[in-house]
Amino acid sequence: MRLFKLNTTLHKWLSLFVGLQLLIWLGTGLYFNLMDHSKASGNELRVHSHHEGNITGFRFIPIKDITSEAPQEVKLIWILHQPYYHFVFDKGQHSYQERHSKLFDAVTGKPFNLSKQQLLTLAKNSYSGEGKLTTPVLSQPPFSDHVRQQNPMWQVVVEDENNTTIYLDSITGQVLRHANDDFRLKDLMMKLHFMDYGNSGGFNHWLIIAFAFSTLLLSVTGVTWLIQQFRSGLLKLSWSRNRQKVAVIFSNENTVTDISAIGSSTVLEGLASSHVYLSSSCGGGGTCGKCVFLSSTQLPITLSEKEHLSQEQLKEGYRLGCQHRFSEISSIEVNTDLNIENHELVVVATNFITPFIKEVKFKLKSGKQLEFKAGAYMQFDVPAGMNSLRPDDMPENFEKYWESYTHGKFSHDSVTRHYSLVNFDQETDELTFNIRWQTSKDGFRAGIGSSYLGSLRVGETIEAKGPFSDFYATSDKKVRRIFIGAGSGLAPLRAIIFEQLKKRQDEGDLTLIYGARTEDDLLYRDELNLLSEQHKNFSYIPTLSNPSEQWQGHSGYVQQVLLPYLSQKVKFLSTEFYLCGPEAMMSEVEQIITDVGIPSNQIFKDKFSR
Amino acid sequence: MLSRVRKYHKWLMAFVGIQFLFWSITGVYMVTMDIHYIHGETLAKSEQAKIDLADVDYSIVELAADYPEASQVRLTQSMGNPLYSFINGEQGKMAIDAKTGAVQALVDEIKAKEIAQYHYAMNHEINSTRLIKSVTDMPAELSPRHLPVWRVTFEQFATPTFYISQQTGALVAKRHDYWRLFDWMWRFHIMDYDDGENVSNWFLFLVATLGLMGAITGAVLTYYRVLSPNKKGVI
Repeated sequence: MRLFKLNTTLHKWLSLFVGLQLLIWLGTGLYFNLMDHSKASGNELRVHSHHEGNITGFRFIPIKDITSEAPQEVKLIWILHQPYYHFVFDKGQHSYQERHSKLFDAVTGKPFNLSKQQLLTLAKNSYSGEGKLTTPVLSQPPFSDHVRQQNPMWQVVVEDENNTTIYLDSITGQVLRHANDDFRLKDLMMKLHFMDYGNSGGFNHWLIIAFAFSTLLLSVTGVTWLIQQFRSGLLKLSWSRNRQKVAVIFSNENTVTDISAIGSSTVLEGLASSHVYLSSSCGGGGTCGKCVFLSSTQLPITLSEKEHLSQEQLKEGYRLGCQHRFSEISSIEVNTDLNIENHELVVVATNFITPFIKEVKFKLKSGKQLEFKAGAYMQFDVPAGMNSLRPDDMPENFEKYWESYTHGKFSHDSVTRHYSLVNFDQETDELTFNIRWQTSKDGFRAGIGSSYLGSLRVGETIEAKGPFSDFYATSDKKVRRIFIGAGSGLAPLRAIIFEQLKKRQDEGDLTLIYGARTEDDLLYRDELNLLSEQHKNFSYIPTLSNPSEQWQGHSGYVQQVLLPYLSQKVKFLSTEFYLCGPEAMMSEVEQIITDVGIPSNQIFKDKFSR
Repeated sequence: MLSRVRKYHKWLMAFVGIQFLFWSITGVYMVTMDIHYIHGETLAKSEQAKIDLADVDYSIVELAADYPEASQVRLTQSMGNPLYSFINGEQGKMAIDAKTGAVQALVDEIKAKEIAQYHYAMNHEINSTRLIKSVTDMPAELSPRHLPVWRVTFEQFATPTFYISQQTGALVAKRHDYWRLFDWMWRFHIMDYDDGENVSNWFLFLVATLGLMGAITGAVLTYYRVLSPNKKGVI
C-alpha cells in the first residue's frame, strides 16, 4: 500500500508545477468577481449615435445595377446619415474572422471609401470625453487591443488620461471598440486567466489544456487526501478547548514530565505548544514520517503510518505525532530533547510544620499557572554559596529537637535538587513543597538543597524547571488504592490523594498508611483527619515509631501496619499501591506486597533519592 | 510555523476543496472542447452561396415605396432564394421575396423542417419541431430577440437543435448537448447556479477568497517542502 505516498507526492509535485498559475487563476478570478464591468468594458466614455436616415428621402440605385462580383449578402447601412450598400463577399461565423466586403454609394452606385475626416467624425461621435482625437491610421492585424481580430481596423488615438484608442471597421467605419487602460487591465487579466501567452485569442490551446489536466489531478489528490484525513479522524471540527494532560517520557534523558495541551490538537501540535518538538520536516502532513512517538496504549494505525513505519514498529506501539489527537493518548515516550521552561519562583510563605520539615510556598514570578499531574516534582537550581548549618527561624516548641545541632555556616557548589509538589495544580495558585532539613551529622555540612531552600525568606526567588512526573495516579476512578509513605515522602501522596478526592471525584477506596517518628512529625495531621471525615472512601492510618504515652494509634513502622491490614482485606489483588519514602522502607514494602501476589504493574514508586 | 500553515491549508481546503475539484473539472471541459464546436459551427454547412443579383427584380426603390417605414434593410438569401429582410416600423421583422416583392409567408412546420435539413451538416432525421412564440415558453438557451422561432431537433445523441426564425426563415441559433453542458460547466465555474450570468456573486467571492488563502498556504508548504534548502527544523 504505497498509495498514500503516491497521492501526497503527486500532490506536492503537481502543486509545484501548476502552483503559480493556480494563484494567477484565483487572483484573476477574484478580479473578474470584483471588477467594475462598465469600466472594464472600455465603454465608459462611449456613446451610440444614430445615423439611420429615412428610406424615402433618397433615390436609391437598384442593387442589381451595381457593378460588382456576386455578394453573399448586401446590407443597406447609414454613415453620417448617408445610405451605402455594404457588399459582403465572404465572411466567417464571427465578426473578427477574415471578411471581404466593399462599400458602394447607394445613390450613385459608385465604390465608396471613407475619408479620414469622416472617420474622425465617426470616432468623435462615439466619444463623450474631453480628450483630443488624433488622425485615424489604418492598421493591420495583429492588434494588442484586439488579439483575435483578423481584419484591418482604423485606429484613432485619443489623448486622454485613460489612454483611449478608438477602433473602427476598415470598410464601414463602424466603431468596433473603445480600448482604454481599464479595458486593457481586464484584457490582461483575461490573457492571464486563459494562459494566452502565445496570443491565440482563445482558451483552446495545448498549454492551458496541460495545466488544466494537471490541476484536475492536483484537486483529485487533494480531495483524496482530505477524505483520508477525515477517515483517520483528523478532520473533525472541535470547538472544545478542553486541555488534556499527558505524561511524556523523554527516552534520551530518562525523565518524565506532564504536558498539557488542547485535546483536539494533534500530538505533534500539542507537544509543540509546550515547546517539545518532535522532528518534522513536513509540518504535520503525514508525508515525512519523522514525528515518531511510542504510545503506551494501542492506537489505530493510519494510512500514513502504514507507509512510514515498519510492521515491527507499529506492533511495538510507534506512531506518528501528526496522525493522532492529544486526547487519544495518556502516556507516551519520545526520543527528543526535553525543552522544559525555566521558571523563576518567588517565595510567598514559609512555615515549620514539623520539627525538621519546612513548608515553603512559591508563586511563579511570571504570574502564570502551571498545569501538572499530582505527584509531580520540580528541579531546583541551587546556586553556589554559604548556608547555615541549622535554621534560625524555628518556632520555640521545636527547639528541643535541635539542641544537639551546632550553629554555623558552610560553603558549597551549585547543585540541582528535586522536590515533589505537595499540592495538585488546581488546588491553589501556589506551588507548595516540604523541605526536610538534612541535619549536619558531622557538625560541618548540612544538606545543600534543604539548607538553601529552608533558609529562603519571603520575597526571595529561585530558578526551577518542571514540573516533571513519573509518579501519578492511573485514570481508573473505581480502583482501590493504598498509599504507603513515611516522613517527607508524604508530599506526592498527599497531592495525589487530594487530587483524586477533590478534583477527580474518585469513587474507589483510598487508604493512606503513613509512618513518622513522633506525633510532632506527623505531616498535615489535622488536614488528613478532616479529609477522612469528609470522604467515606478515604481512610488515614498514621503509625509512629517513637510515640508518646498518650498516643492511641498504631505504633511501629508502616510495614508492620501493612501486614495485618493485607491479611484481613480480600480484594487487594486489583488494588494499586503507591509508595514514597526512604529507600529501605520502599523495598521492604514492595517485597511484602509482591509476596502476596500483587503484580508489579500495580505498584507505583516515587524514588525518594533522585 | 510550517505546521500552522499546514493546518490552515487543510482546514481552508476542507471547506473549499470541493469547489477546486469543480473548477478543475469544468476548466478541463471548457479548454478541451473547441469553442467553435461548442457554438455548433460544425452543425450547419457554411453558407458560401452567392446571390445572383440578376434575380433581384424587386428593387430597393420599390421597397422604399411599399414599406416607407423600413429600416435595417438587408438583401440576404433563404435556401438559395434572394430575400429582403427588414424591420417594418412597429410591425417588426419582415421578409419579402427579392424577385417578386411578395411578402414571405410565415414559415410553417413543413418549411421549417425543410430549412433545417437544408442547413444541417450531418444526416439525421428530425426528431421534433415546435413553434415558440413567447418568452415564458422559451428555453433558456435562446435569446428572446429571435422570437418567434421554430425549434427543430435532430435524432442524434447530442440532440442538435436549430432555431429558425418564423418570419425570415433564417437559422438564428444552433445548440447541442455539448453547448448545454458547457453552459452548466460555466455556471459551476463562476458559481452562479441560477442563470449563470452573474460573475459578481458573493458566493464566488467568498469561496475564491478562501481558496486564494488556501492556495497561498499551499504555496508556502510547497516552497518549504520542495524548494527551501533548509528542510530541517522548519516546524
